Amino acid sequence: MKYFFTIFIILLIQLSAAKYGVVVTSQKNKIEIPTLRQLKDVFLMKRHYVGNTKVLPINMLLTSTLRQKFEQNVLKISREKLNKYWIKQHFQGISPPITQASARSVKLFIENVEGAIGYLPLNLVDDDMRVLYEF
Amino acid sequence: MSFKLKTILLILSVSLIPYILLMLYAGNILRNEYRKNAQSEMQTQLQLSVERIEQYLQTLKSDMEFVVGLDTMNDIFSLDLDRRISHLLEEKKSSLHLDGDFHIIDTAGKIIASSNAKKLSQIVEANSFFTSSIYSPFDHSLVGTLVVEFSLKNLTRFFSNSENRHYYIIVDNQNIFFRPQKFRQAVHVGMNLKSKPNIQIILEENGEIFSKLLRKYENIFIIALIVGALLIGIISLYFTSRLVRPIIKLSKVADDITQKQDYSYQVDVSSNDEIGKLSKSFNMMITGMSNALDELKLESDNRIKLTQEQSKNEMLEELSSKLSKYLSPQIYESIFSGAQDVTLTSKRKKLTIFFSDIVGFTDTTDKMESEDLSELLNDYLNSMTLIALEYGATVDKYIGDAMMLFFGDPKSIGIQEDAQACVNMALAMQDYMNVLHNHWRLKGFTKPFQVRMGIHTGYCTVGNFGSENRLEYTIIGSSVNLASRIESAAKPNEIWISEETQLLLNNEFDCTEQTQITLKGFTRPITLFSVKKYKSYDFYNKSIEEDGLSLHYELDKITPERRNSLKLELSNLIEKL
Repeated sequence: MKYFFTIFIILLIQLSAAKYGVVVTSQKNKIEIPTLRQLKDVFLMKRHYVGNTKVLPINMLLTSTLRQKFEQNVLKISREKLNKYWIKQHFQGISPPITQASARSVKLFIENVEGAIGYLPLNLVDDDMRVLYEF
Repeated sequence: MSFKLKTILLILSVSLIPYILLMLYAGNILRNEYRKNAQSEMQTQLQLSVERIEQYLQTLKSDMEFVVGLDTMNDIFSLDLDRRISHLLEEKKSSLHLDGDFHIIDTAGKIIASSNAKKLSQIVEANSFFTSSIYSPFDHSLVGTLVVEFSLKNLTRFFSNSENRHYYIIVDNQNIFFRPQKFRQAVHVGMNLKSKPNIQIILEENGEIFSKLLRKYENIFIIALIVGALLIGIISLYFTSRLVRPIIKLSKVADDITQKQDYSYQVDVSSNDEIGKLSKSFNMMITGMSNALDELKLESDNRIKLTQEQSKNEMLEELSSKLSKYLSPQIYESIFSGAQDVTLTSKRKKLTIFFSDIVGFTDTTDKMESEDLSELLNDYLNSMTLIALEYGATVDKYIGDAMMLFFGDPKSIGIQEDAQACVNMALAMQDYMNVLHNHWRLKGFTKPFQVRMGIHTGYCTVGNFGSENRLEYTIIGSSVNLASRIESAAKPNEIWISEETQLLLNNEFDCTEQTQITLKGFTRPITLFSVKKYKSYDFYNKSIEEDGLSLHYELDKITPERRNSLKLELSNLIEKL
């Protein structure tokens, strides 16, 4: 019991210390998002430009685990609150970021669309990507 | 051509020809109407089908427009790795029951999403049925196109084909699709789709069915035409017969009348129209003609009778005229007037009897040619008779050159007057002898006749004497004899009368007693007188008869105009003398 508890604690610590994904953009984009706050604003559609570049946040599907992590760790907003937020934004004519069904499609989207920012699992990041934030 | 036939032809031409023309025209109109209606019906059906097709295509286009507006189209950037677009397209295909595929093609025409996975990465040829452009929601650039690979078969679901009617499609005016069969005879209507003008939907019908139906109606029409024509013909014949019958009757009666000359025929009058009136008038005319002919015949018979009677009368008249010459005019008149009956009857009357004859007639006749003698005698007797008739004498008879006359029967102007008339007559005769002498002298008869006359007044028996078969109206009796004897006793150129006659002359005449004669039967001698002339006669009339001179004048007869010339002539004569 103790053993298992120990392993659990250890895993927890490891987990707490693990990275879920990274926020990336294409290398072609000259986007720099220095603060988390700015990144959050981008994904909350409060910020549309970074520098002179129009940014386009890409979400994954609601059911995506990575998205949940992203909302927890980057947006730091619960799903419930986020839903309310988007309802409110909707009436102001602001739509949430577009979504892609898979990480690979996110990756492809980011590669094909200028200014696209999305989040991917670590294993999909390649040299064509530039990491903007890890979470 | 008979009147009946002419009437039938007239009625037929007036009724049948227009009827046939009308029926043909109506038939043609009906045929065209039927064809137009059929085509119109086809057109309507086609219109409905095309409208449904248009609606479908519009829906398709709208759906496509809708699809390209969906957020899902953003997956185009990710080359639809998640196949969300493809699924969408598949659903859309399914919902539209599309026979074909939707594709999302990139700007290079490569299919990056499709309702048919097999078509992925293929290149789509140009001229897709419908296209909808996909623009980037970020920079509004064209990022792809939604195209539909559309099979024309999709349109066939709106076709309600049947055995004799079907739809088909013509594309670009040359390519025909979905034509089940080609009818030998076809009627078709077509319409172009508004959304795809190069596609024409054709509705085709089997013309044979149409023609069969049309022929069926045409047959009905023809039967109706024939029946109608027959009816018209029958009715025409019926009415013509009825119309013409009275005329034929009229004609027949006229023929019968002409041939048989029987005017008792009448025409049956069975109507009140003009023909009836004509028949009535004809009957009246025939009756009138019959009556007129009867009258004419009667008139003719009467005229014939009259003519015959007239002829008879004329003949009788002529005959009687001829016979009258053998009778004294008075006897003739009294017989014909009925005063005198032609029977053996006589009566006793006091008459004045006259006898005359030519002295030495026999000797004279021996010396003359018979023709000359006849001429002389006829002149003499004619002239004397005229004078006798003038004075009212009844000429009893001519006995050669002798004449026997009497006064007092059948008409009498009185015994005395009869005697005076007789004497006047005798004197006139005596005077006229001078005229005759001159006349004969001019003809070359130099020896004139001398006449002696005897007159007596006495009772005679006068009447018809002879037999029943041969009568003579004459006088008999002693007085007659006496008259004759007096005449015989008279000197030539003298007139001797009896005393009885002389007494009746009332001294009006110059009478000279001559002699007395005794006759058998008379108790005493008869004194005879010669009568020379009327006492006042010499003043106005005179006759001179001598050798070398024969003169007779009657002053009262010389007209004033002639007097002067006569005076001249006589003056010349006197100078010569």
